[in-house]
Amino acid sequence: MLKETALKYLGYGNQEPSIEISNLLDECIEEIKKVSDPKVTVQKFHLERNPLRIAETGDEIKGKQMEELLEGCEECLLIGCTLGIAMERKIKFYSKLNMTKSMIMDAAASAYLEQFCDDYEMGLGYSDRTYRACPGYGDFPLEFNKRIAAILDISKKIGVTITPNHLLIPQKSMLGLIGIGSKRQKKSCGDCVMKEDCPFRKRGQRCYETE
Amino acid sequence: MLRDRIGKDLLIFDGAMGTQLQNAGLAAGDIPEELNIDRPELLKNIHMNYLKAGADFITTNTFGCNRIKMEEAKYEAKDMLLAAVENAKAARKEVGREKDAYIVLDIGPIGQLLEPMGTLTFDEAYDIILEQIETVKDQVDAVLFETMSDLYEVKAGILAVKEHTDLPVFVTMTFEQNGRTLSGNDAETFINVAEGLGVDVLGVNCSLGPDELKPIIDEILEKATVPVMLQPNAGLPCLEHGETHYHVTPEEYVESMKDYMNRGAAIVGGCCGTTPEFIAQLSQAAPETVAERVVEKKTRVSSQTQTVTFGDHVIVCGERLNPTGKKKMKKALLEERYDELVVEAVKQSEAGAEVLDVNVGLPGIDEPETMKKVVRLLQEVITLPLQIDSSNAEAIEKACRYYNGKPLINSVNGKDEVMEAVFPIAQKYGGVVIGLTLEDGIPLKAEERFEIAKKIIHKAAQYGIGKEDIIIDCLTLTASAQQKEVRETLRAIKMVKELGVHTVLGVSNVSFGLPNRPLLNRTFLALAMEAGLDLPIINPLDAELMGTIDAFHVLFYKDVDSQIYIKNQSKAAEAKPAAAANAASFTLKDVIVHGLKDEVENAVKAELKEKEALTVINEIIIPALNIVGKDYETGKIFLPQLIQSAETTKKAFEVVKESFASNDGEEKGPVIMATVEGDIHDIGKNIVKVVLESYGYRIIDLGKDVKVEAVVEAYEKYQPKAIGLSALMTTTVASMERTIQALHEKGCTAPIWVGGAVLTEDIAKNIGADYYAEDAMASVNLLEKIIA
Repeated sequence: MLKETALKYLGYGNQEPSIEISNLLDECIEEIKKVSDPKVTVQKFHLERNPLRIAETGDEIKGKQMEELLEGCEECLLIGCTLGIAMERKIKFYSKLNMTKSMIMDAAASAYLEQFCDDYEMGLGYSDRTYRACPGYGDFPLEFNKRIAAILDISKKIGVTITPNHLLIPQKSMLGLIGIGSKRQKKSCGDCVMKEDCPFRKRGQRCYETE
Repeated sequence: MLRDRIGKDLLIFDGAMGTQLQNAGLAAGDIPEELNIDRPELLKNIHMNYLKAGADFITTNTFGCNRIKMEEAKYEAKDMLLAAVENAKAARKEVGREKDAYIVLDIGPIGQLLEPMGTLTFDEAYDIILEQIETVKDQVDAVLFETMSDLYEVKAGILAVKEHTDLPVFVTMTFEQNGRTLSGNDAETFINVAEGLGVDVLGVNCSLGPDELKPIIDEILEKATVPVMLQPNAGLPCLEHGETHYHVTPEEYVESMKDYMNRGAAIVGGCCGTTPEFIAQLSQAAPETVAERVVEKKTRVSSQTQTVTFGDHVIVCGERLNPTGKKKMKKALLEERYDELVVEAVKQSEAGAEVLDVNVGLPGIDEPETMKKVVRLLQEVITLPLQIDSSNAEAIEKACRYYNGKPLINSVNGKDEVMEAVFPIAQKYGGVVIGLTLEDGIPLKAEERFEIAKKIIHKAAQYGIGKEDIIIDCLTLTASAQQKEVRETLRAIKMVKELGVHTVLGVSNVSFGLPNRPLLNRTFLALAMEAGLDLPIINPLDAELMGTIDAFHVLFYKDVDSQIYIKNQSKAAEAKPAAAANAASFTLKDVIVHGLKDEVENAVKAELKEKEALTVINEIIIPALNIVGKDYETGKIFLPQLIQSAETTKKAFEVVKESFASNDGEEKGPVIMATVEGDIHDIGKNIVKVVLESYGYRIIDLGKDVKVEAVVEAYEKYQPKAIGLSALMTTTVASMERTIQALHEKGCTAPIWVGGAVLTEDIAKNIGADYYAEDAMASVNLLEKIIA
C-alpha cells in the first residue's frame, strides 16, 4: 500500500514503474523507516453547535464541509503528527546528491506519514469516527492549523512549528481533526480550492483513498 | 552575589508554572502570559508558595513572551514581561526574601524553527530574544532558557545575553527518550557548544521524569565542566480523559533526585506536574553544598547534531573545500555556485571524513561574507563538524558566529598579533584552535617548533582557552625541497604530544614535485600517525590513504577486532571488478534514456575517443534527452525517470566540458530560480532546475524562502535571460506577487515564469507573471521558445 501511494504522489496512474525506480523506492522506504522518528499527540474535546465549535477552547470550526462531516458528533479529537526533523534533513541531503532519490523519498515519506497516522488512529479504538480532516483541504480553513498547534502545544510536544504562512515544519507533519460519533469516512473533493486544476483529478485519481 | 554561590551552594529552583495555572482555570490554547496582567495576585501567590517551600529561584511567567508567540495576545509582549517581573518582585518582597532569593527571566523557544530547516534567520532569533532581555534585564538576577530543543536558538540566546548584560545565563534543553532533542541535538553536543559560548549553568528540563532522564543526566554529570541544573517532570505525561496527568509522587521524585545531588548536581527544581510540595521536600532533602564532580577535559568539536572527540582514534579532516590549486572550485566560488561546494562536502562525508576544512580565500572575493554563506549552506546538508580555515580574522568571526556548533579554527601561529586577533573569537564563540608552529618562517629544528607550540599554549591560557581547545600543527615539509628536514616534523609531533595536546598535519605537501605522490603521502601518513598525529588533513576520496588509516587502527589496537577494517576493506576489494564489467555494455544513448548515472562517465569518454565533443553533444546527448522528454510528455515514463535522465545528462555535459579548453560558449542563460519568501517547499523548483540544467541552462538557484529584495538584487547582478519563481501554498502566492512587482519596479524586462501546486494560468496572469509552466518539461519548452 505504501508503495502504491508513493507512486501515486509521483504521478503514476496504474502503470508499473521501471525496475530501477521500483528498487529505489524500496530503498527509500527502508531508509525512511530508519531515519524517521514518528511522533504524535492527540487530545479529545467536546463539540458545541450554533456555531460549531470546540467547547473547551471556544474555537469555531468553519466550513460547510466540516459542518457536514461533524454532523452527529458530540466529541472530536485534535491530532498532530510528524516524521521528525531528521527525515527533513535526509530529503534535503539527497536533493544535493541525488535529486531522483530525494524526490522519491519525499513522496514515500508523505505516504509513510499518511499510513502512520492511519494506523495510529485505528489503534485509538474509536469505532465511530470520521476521517481525519486537515486544515487547508476542502473548505476547512488553513488558518485553523495555528489553533490546533496552540491547543495541542505541538512545538513542545512533537517539535512541529508553523510559519507565518501556515506551513508546517518539518514538512512531513500533519495536523487534523477527527469527529467522534459518526462513521463518515468517505471523502470528496467538495469545494477544494484545487478542484479545477488538480493533477490527481486530471489523471482520474484522488489525492485521498477512495475505496 | 549569585555568581559566587552557583556551583558551591546547592540551590533550589521552583516547580511547574503551567500546572499551577491550569489548576487555576487556564484552558488549552489560552495564553498564560496574559494572566500576568489579568490576575497578578494569582501569579504572586504561585511565586510565594514556591518561595515558602524553599526555592531560591523563582522563574517569571514569561515562557512564550516573545513578539512572535504573543502576536495574538491581547497585550504587548513587553507589558506582559514587565508585569511578570513585578509579580515576582512583589512575591519576593512579601515573604521577606529580597536578599537571598533570585528572580530569573524565563525564556522558552521562540516557536518558529530557525534556518536551515525553518525560515527564521539566526539574526532574527537573536533580535527577538534580545527584546525580551532588554525589557527587564535591570530587574532580574539571571536569564534561563528552558525547554529548548534547538541548539542554534540556544546559541542566539546565550550571545544575546552575554553581549548586552552581565547576567548569569542558564540553559536547559529538553531531551526525548532517544537521547536527542526534537531538533536532533544530543547531550554531548549541547554541553560542548554551550560551554564554548560561556554558559554559566546547563542541564535538562521537561519531557521525562527523573528516572527516565537518567542516561542523559548521567552523561551531563560526567561531561559538563560547568554547574549542572536539573528540572525533570513529575514522571511521564499520561493522557486521561483528554487531560495530561503526572503520576510520580513528591517522595518518589525526591528519592530519584537525591542520587543526582549526591553526584554533583548544583541546582535542582521541577518541571511539568511538580508543585510547591515537591519543592518543599526537595529543599529539605538537599545537602547544603554541591557534591564534588571530577570531569576529564577532552578535545571535542561539534556540528549541530554530532560531536567528534579526540583521543581514541585518528580523525580525518577532508581538505577539498579549498580553492588553492583547484580551478573548478575557484570558478564555482567566483560565480557563487555554492552547490558545487556542497556536493564536494557530501562526497567527502560519504568517503569517511569526520571533519571538513572550509577555505574560501580567493583574491577579489569578500571572504567574510562568502564564508558566512558557505558555512550556512554546508550546515544545511552536512552533519560533520567544520574546520574554519582562513587567515582573515573577520571571516573567522563571521563563520564562528553563524556556525551551528563548535568548530575547529584553522589557524593561529606563533606571532602575537595573529593570536591576539583570533583567540578572542575562539574565547567568545567556542572553538578548537589550530596553532601552526611557525612565526616568520618554519623553523628547521623540531626543538624550535616545540618552543612555538609552548608559546601558543601559554598565550591561549591567558584568554581562558585551555589545552584541550588547542591542536598543534608541526608542519609538513616537502621532500623534494627539504628532504633532510622531513623527519623533523615527525620528531616535533612526538615532542609536542608530551605537552598534552593533540596534533594536526596537512599531509600531501610532503610529496610535492615527486612522482607517484600517493605512495609518499601514505607512507608519511603512516609514520606521522605512529609519531602521534591525531588529525590528518587529507583527501578522503583517496581510498588508499583512507585504507592506511584503517590499517593503522588495526595495528595500534584502536579498531578492536578489526571490525571497521573488515567492513571497509572487504567492500573495497569487491567494488573494482564490478564497475569494470559494466563499463562497455551500454551506449551513451541508452545510458541517458535509462538514466544510468553510474555508467555515464565511461560512456561519454568512450564516445569522446572517436568523436568531437560537439558531435557527442548534438548527435547523441541532445537527441537522447529529447526522447526522454517526449516519453515523459506522452506518459510513457514518469517524473522519477525524467529526473534520473536529467541528472545523467547533466553529468554527461560535465564530462564533455572537461575535454573543452573553454566551455563558456556552451551555456544557455543565465536563469534565476527561487522559491518565494515564506515558502519552504522547494522540491518542485529543484526538479525544474535539474531538468533545465540537463538542457544546458546555467541556473542561479537562490534557494527557498528567498526575500523579495534578494531576488531583485540577483536580477540586477546577473541580468538573467529569465526568472523562475515557485510557490506551493495559496498563502505564499502573495509574496510571489510582491516579488514580481518589485522586479517590475526595478525595470526588469526578463520574462518571469511561475509554477507550483496552487498556481494556474489565470493566477499567473493576475499576479503579473509573464508565463505559467505546469511542470519541468513545460518549463524547458517555454525557455527554449522565449530565450533565443
